[in-house]
Amino acid sequence: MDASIPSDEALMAQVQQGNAEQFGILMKRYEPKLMRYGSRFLAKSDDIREIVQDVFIKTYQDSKSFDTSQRFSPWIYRIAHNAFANELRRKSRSPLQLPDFDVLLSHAPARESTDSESERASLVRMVEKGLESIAPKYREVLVLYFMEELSYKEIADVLRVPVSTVGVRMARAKAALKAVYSAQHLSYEP
Amino acid sequence: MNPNSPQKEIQSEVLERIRSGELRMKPRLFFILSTALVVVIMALILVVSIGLASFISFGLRLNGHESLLGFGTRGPLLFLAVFPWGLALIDLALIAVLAWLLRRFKFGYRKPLLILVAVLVVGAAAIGLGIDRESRFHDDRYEEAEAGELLGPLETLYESARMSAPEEYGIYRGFVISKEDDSFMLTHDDHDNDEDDGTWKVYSPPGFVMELLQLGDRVYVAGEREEDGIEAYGVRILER
Repeated sequence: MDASIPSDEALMAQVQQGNAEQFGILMKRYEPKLMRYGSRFLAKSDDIREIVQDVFIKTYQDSKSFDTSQRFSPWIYRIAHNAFANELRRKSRSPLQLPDFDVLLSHAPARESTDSESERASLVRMVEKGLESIAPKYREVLVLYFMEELSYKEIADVLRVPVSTVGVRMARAKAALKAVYSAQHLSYEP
Repeated sequence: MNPNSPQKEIQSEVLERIRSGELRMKPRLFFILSTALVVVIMALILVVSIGLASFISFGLRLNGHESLLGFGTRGPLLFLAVFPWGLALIDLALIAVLAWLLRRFKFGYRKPLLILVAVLVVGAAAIGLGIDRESRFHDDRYEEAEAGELLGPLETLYESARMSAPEEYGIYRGFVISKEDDSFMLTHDDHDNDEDDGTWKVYSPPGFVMELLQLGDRVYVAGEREEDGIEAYGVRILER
């Protein structure tokens, strides 16, 4: 990142000291990302807009709980994840959510793939195209990893699951994506 | 950028509310206190959970039911039948709440849920067992309950620990008043004033060393009631 452009964390430090205008810059940076993230959860853009606004409000209200030595993006995505998941729960018929089976057990340590930049770009395109037909919990890890560029550890912090669970979900998400591509007779090159 | 775009709207709306003072940051103290509150609640749940585990251990020791584990193949099955599952389920529910609260913290959610619950269950059970076996905490409370010196609910709890020896399961508890080569006489009184109260002849199980038994010993017996006495498959001398 350009040294003259303040980092998200630096901006948050200023917000914490009462410089509320800096929060506008953060909103400018994150609104398109959060709108895109939300559109993977919810279909109606009106709902997304309202929820993104609520996410910014909560982010501002809770600013002082943010540790500026940590990365800001997983923190705001955690708030957004909660907001969108709550909305999904509110709309669903069963408000009680049981823990997912894949957070119960221990899995082999997850290792992040080392795709080149061009491979990653082609994966991002494929993820964009095939995303709709994948279950939300697998869709979410793909979005956070390929589009929002969070690490497995950061995704684990957003979803509050073990890092190994992120690895398992990622592998299953890629397999589901591959199945979607196979069904449509398209080539899949992860 | 179009000034009327949604992005502009959200940003200006939120900033306006901040500038007007309608939106305020919560003070750092709020987060410190709420975290402290969760930690205190977790500590309380942990203490109650350990206390329940040690109380279960105390009840099994007081009634001698733990002896069943050494009574061949039938004993452990009977142990499962007389185990206080109600208290154990309450304890498990408390641990589930504790695990749920722990998952608010990084060290909680980074561990698989089953491992977290297993560690809590084993930990609480081990500490509870240790407290019961290494201290007289429950024995003293029990004596206080008998003397009517404990608070109401606690007194009821400790009084409930002294269960009658359930004869429907073939369990008898009493004192040895005489003995022969392969049998002894047992006074049995489980405080329910029914027909099994009284004196019973107990035929000792094969391999039981009668020399170990002394008159006046308090014993725990598991066996089948026959016409002329009890055919025991397990006898254990409780504390002298």
